[in-house]
Amino acid sequence: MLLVFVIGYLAIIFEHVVRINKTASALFIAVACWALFFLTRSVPLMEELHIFSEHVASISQIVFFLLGAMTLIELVDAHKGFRIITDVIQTTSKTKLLWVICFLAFVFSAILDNLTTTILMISLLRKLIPHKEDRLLIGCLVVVAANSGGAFSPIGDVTTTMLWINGQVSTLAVISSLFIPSLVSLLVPLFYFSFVFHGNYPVIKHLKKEAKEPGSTLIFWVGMAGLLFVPVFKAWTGLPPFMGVLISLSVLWLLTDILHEKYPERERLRVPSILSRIDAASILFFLGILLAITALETAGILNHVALFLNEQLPSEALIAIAIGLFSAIIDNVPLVAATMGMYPLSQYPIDSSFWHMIAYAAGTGGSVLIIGSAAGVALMGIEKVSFSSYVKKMSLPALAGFLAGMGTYVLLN
Amino acid sequence: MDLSIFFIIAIFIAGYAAIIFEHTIKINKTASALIIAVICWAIYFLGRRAPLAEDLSQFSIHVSDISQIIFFLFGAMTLVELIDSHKGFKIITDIIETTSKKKMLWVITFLTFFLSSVLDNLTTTILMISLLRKLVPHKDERMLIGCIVVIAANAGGAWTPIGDVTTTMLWINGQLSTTAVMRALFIPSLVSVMVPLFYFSSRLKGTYPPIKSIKAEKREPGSRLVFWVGIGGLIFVPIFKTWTGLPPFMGILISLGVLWLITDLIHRKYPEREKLRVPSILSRIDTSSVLFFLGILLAVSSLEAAGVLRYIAVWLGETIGSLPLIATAIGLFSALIDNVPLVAATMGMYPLSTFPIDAPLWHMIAYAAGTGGSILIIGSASGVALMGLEKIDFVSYMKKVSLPTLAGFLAGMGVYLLLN
Repeated sequence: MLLVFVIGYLAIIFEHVVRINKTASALFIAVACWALFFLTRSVPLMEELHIFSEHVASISQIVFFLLGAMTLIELVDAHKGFRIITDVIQTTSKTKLLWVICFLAFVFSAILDNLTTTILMISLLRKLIPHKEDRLLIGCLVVVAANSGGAFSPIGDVTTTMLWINGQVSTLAVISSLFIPSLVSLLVPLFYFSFVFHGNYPVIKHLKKEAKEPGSTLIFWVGMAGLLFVPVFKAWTGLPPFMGVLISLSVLWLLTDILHEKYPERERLRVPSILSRIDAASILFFLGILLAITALETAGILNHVALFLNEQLPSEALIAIAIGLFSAIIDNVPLVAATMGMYPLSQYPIDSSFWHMIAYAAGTGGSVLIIGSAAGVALMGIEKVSFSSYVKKMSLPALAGFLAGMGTYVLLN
Repeated sequence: MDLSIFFIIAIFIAGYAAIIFEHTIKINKTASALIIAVICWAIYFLGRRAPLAEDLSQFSIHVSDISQIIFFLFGAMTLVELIDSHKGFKIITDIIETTSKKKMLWVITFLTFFLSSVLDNLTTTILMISLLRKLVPHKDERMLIGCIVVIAANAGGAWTPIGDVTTTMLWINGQLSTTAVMRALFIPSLVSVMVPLFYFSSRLKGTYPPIKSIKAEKREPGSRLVFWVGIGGLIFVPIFKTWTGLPPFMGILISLGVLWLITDLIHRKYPEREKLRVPSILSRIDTSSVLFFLGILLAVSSLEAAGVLRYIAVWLGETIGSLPLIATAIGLFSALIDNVPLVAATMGMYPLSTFPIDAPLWHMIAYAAGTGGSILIIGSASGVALMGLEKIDFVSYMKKVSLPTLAGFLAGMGVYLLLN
């Protein structure tokens, strides 16, 4: 089973070389690992099915949450609702813009997921700075800011969300203990680059002319409120977060249906057409990778790794740092999923500092390499920033920021 | 019955009405379904007396069952869409030469009936509807034949242990045995299709316009391979399930993974074939009908969790004395609500000690729950799929199809009683 997993994982990492879509590999290893587990069972089938269905329940909640949140954001974006923010940015000074963009990305990504934040900020940057070369560094910093901003809030990052949904961290505790470390991890590279940057960007006019879609202000505010409503709903009813996202989405759906019902030409602004633009392959990728990890977990393989890490690394902080550095190389979703399987809640209860460190490390450690986070990979795709130019310019400052933030956390606690 | 249950029922009925009259109020039915699902569960959680952890574990059991259906649906739809975009169905449509409406109706109905005894009803319906779209391009002409696909898929599933979820449940739990249920229910199931089939075929006349456009349409590269691997993948699902014991959606996912791999290998050198690869296929999947399923199933499960369905079952048992009447009532109920919780409830109500394996009661329930769902479009998963895929609304199904289907359902039940 381990062999199937490792081969599949290599196929995922070297997707561009083997040219097999990573989702196909992920689905394949997921089913193959579970099938191997079921075929070599030692307990009765009913018991195994029960364990399996518990895993499916928690995985599907993450998948539905992702689907709902992505649709909601895409809906706001399609209405050009984010212009409400872009209209406010007036500066052309390079240093000022750097700070404004980074803080915007940081704050945004605390509410939205990192990928959406990055895509949004980059498409925004393209309008503010037409020259690709000028945009390179600021684009890289957006990735760092998006990853850092996501780490401290339960809805800002997939890995923190996973820990939150599964009950390893609680909303208030994780925000209050990780806000400063996350901010530090951004400020270190930001200060470094603001010394390098000088001068002004050429003035841009055409952005201001792009018309908003009808109802964009309403959709923007309802959408943002809907996302903020999710943790409120969870605290109020006790239902898992995906139910909150689903009701926010359906309220927005109802609203857009009422708004656009009389205009056939606005079909593209309604949810069914928005849904066709959602990247379903990446949702299936999540499903596959999470299923595969749970198979390893059930088979007891992750326990071995945890024991090994525990024996080799004496302190929890070092384990968390190692996980952060790992997350720069491999996808942090399976990494955190693996950690969740390795360390039981009975040993590390909710909001124990170990889980906070994991949330911080997995969230920000991915910024050290461009392939380390979904946001980085998006930058790679959209802006054609190469692996090596990111390593040369960004890796060291990002690493310094990551370690400084971790140091701050340890000092504060 | 306390206040929260009353509110759940009220919200559910209001939401259900909004779904039924989607075209009048012009709110997308998925939005209504999701809203009632979340609100019903929220009321249930807020009005709880049990501790939160217990509620959550009950909720997560429901979510697990529901998500398996959702992932299955998503996988099967992608697989079928993949075959379709490779024009793989030309292999079948080339064989069906007829343009006579009557002949077409019979061919399609029998194909569906037998396919659905092997595949599950949902896959069969999705498959047959994509086929029909090729054979009968006009949506209005397709409507009636699409409805009978649902009837045939439900009836075809009822008599085999692997063809339908409810029969499978009874089979896995030991209420039925394979050969006994097939022998006892084959003729009643067939009768329940034949009645509406005869009725419709007497009303259909003339021919469909010859469809030159598809015959002339060229197949995409690799269409034959994708077709056979895809169909093989669907047939593999029940095999995979019996072999490993894993639920069917895992079988669908691995079939999809294999087909994805194959298409990546076939097309990777040709950038112009991007549209044949899975990511672009996925963007054509109707995600809102998948979300509709999620909403509806979640909403019904909240009724079940609140104990509403149990009240109905108990009331039913006390009011109606005779077993055939109870089975008939269950069939009619299954047109209104999901038949899985219904059959689950009956399995709990009637112990195996009183009604042993292959007792007529279990056969009748398998038949009734399987075929009774055809009476209303919302009564079965395939009906809901038809609603989503073909945009057929509740009211027009009720006007044209419900009565003949009801006649078929009752006739099949009568035949079963006569034979035993």
